[in-house]
Amino acid sequence: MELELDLSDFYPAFYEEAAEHLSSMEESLLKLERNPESAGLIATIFRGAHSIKGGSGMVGLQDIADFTHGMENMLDLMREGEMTTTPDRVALLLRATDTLGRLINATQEGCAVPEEIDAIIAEVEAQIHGNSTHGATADAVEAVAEANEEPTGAPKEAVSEIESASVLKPEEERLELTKTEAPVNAGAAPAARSHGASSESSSIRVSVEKVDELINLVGELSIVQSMIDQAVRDQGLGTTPVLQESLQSLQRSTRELQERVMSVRMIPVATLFRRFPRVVRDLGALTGKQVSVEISGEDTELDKQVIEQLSDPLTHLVRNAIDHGIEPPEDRVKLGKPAEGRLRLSACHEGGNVILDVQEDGRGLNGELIRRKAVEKGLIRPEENLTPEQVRSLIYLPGFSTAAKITDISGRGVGLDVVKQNIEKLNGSIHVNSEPGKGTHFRIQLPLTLAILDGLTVQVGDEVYILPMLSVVESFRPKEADVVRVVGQRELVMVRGETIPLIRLHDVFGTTARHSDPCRGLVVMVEHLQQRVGLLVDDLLGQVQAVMKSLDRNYRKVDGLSGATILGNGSIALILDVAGLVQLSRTR
Amino acid sequence: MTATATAPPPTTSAKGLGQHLTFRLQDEEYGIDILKVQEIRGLSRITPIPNSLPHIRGVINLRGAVVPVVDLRIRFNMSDEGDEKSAVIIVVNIGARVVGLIVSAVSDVVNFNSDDVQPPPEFGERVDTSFIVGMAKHNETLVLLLDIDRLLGDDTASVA
Repeated sequence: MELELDLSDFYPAFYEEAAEHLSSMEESLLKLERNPESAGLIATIFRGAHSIKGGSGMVGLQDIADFTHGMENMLDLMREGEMTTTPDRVALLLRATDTLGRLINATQEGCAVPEEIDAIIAEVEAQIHGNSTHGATADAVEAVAEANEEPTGAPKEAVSEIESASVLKPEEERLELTKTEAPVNAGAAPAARSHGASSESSSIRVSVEKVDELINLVGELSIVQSMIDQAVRDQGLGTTPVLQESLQSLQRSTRELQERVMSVRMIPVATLFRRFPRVVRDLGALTGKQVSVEISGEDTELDKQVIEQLSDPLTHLVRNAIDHGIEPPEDRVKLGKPAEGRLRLSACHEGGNVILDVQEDGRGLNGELIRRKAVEKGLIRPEENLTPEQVRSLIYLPGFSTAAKITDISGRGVGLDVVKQNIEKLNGSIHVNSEPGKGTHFRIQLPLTLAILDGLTVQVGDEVYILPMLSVVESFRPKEADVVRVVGQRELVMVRGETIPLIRLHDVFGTTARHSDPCRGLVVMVEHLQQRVGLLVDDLLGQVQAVMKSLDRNYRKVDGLSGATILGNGSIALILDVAGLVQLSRTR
Repeated sequence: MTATATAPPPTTSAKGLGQHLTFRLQDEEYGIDILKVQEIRGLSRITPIPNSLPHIRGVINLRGAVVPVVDLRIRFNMSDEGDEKSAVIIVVNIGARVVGLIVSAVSDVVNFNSDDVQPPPEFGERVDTSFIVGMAKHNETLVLLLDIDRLLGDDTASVA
């Protein structure tokens, strides 16, 4: 009893490691598909399977160990050159890897194991016995193929009611497998162990909370450091050589410490990009399109939190690229393009930001079609005169889709607006560039981390607020004639022919400002979802790198605010949430 | 003794009350369980939070953490003037959250026995006394013992 309890303590570590092994196996299998001779790839895949088998056996998850065992055996034969690496076998191993992932998931969540387990085991078994896919096993292959086409979630849910019964299912299979266990495994185990050792890296797992605590402390340290700095200067001690020297080295160490601690949260975008070759492969097969993926800059590092939240928007862009962007091979050939479409995913640093590019060489955005659809849906008026850039930005409007027919992949018009929102939630921005016939290029710009915000400090009354730099367009002081009050409605302000709503920050927040007359204060034009509004403030103070702190940690969410930060003098400044402010001003 | 302090069921809270930090709100004495108290700080600059309840005075920087400050004087419909020199912030832990309380002055740390404590008075249905644990006599003054979790739970909870 006690032993079992102890083992479950190791489950989380096993699941985490297994997920890593699975993704590296998948990545390598995809590469192996194009490069079947590579012994290194087979060895990597084998190591992954071996580690999962070993790990699951150790923590007592026998189902997983048994399932992986067959894969391991098959890979071992391939590694030893006793089995040739054919596309069919790689495809089988890919499916087996998927199933293994599902099985591990099911075990983790405590729901029923995937149905296709038996079929996959049988198929792998058949390969090991050298029967290839003839006769009886052909049925199994079909069954597996069918099972695979079902959405991942469905079988799990469907069977969850009979959970207890079906957990026993793989038991029968296990007996069969043990027959082959002894002979094949004998040689494999020691060899694998030596491989495993070489791939071990000297790293430790640390919980994100611990890192965040460090970041908080270091942030506080750097504030205290600048306070001491200020105090020394105020006291006229700034010229004392000893003090000056030690203060400088304190400042240097503090800054370096802050940078280092922040870098702990950073992980390479490779963890994000890794999945796309598979997505593209599967989608290409589904749509009958040939697509090659080119990935570069995968070592570029981004905050873990940003990476996690990028996964959905990026997947969406990639699916769009293949479904809408890249043409079927025959069309491409007619157009004089290579039959195989190209999808380029890249990441790079640019001036404190990270730039992600999703680019394909497909048909490009059709400005006329977008215009027509937008008019049809009443999103714009027919006579409206739009620049090509404005036309392109229509694709971000909710409900917009030019897809002729709705497919499973895309075309429901739920999409780019959500992508844009998700990116903006990360304080990033997205731009599209496209040339008809040549392709479409989405460029996403993101801050390195969510923990630090590039902001503009503004003064309203006695308070200092921070506006996210990315949403600021410009600031100006309007003339009296430029401010109009629409009867019974909101105030509007005109700037260079554009009329935007005016939001008086002090009104929205119920505080007092020095200037309630827009012609004496300043209007900061901010943009949110293509919509521009003017915020009336007393003054602009400057630019800051604000360390984001949440208000709901100890208090609650506040409308119009996205958080708070601590200024160099130790006081707190609230960070404005442009979307929330627009909402607030409407309800008033 | 102390076990009841961390999770005081209302019915048994009059027994074994343990140490309390007593403080003044204008002319009245109050007390809270000392185990809830993290520290006491001088009144420093408070950044107001827009559109909040009047007794939520704003947030302060507590060693890098953003901590809301509740003015207990205003919470109990008292004046917040005349005690500027002695007023302090008592930083308390409510569950996992940290909250500051502005009081007129801190008084003492007192060990209350259950014999000293009487159940809260009945003010009728119109007055909510659910956050009062009981009343105790100390140095001839009446001390109202507060259940700080009940008092502040709603004001600062993340659900508005």
